[in-house]
Amino acid sequence: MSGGPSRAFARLAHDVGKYVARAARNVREGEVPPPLVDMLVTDLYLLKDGQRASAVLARLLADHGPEVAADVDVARAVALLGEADALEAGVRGGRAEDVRRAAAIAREVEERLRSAAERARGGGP
Amino acid sequence: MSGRARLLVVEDGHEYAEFARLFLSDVFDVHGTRTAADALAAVREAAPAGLLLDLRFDRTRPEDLLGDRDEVAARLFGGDRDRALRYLQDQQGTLVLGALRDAGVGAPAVFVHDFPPRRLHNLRRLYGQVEAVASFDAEAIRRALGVS
Repeated sequence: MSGGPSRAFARLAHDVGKYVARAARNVREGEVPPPLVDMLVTDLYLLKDGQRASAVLARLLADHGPEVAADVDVARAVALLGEADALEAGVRGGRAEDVRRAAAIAREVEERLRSAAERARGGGP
Repeated sequence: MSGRARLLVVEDGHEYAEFARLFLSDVFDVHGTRTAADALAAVREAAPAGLLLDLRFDRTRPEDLLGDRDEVAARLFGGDRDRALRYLQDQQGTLVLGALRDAGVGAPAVFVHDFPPRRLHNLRRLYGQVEAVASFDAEAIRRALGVS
């Protein structure tokens, strides 16, 4: 990968963080409507070219130096997406508990990757 | 033609338009485009009431990107065409917005991106009404587009 660490973190935040939480950002209290569940499934398990968000993130990390993967927020995002993968059957089946947990995971992944990108560009803690 | 206000979406994929159709189609006729050329053709057909723009266009064919790669390479990157391509990909949404403004489109423009404040200030200075929403938060995007 070229372009430096700041661009690498920005790419993780854009290509994975932003899109993985597209549906999750709009999950409210109560029953989650089926179209939103469908979008959540797409975001988590068919994010780009039919690949899971976890696989997209892994592929991007493989393109970057080890310092990117070692970042604490990025490492946490990897772990969270692993947890989301384990929930896939329940999410696809619309099981409320799994849908809510998956949405919470997606939101945290977005926040973690954004936080990492902000730090990399010198704008965050 | 639906008679509703048109929301012009410009992105290198389908995610924004999909999102807009789910969350904004109660107020907008969502029209998705993938390149600057398509977007400019769309505004000649019907003036949009809002613009929803992606920023990075790394899935677009280089020849479809707005901007002169060789000129950018010479001006900014010492002739490095690879870096110029990355620049055009990374900034394509703002370049598209510039082209739309040059074409007379004054509709509010919304990026789903957490621009640093100074960058957003500069975009507003250059392109008028520009809003940035950090995530795909439907309510925040509706507010940014002026929908109550």
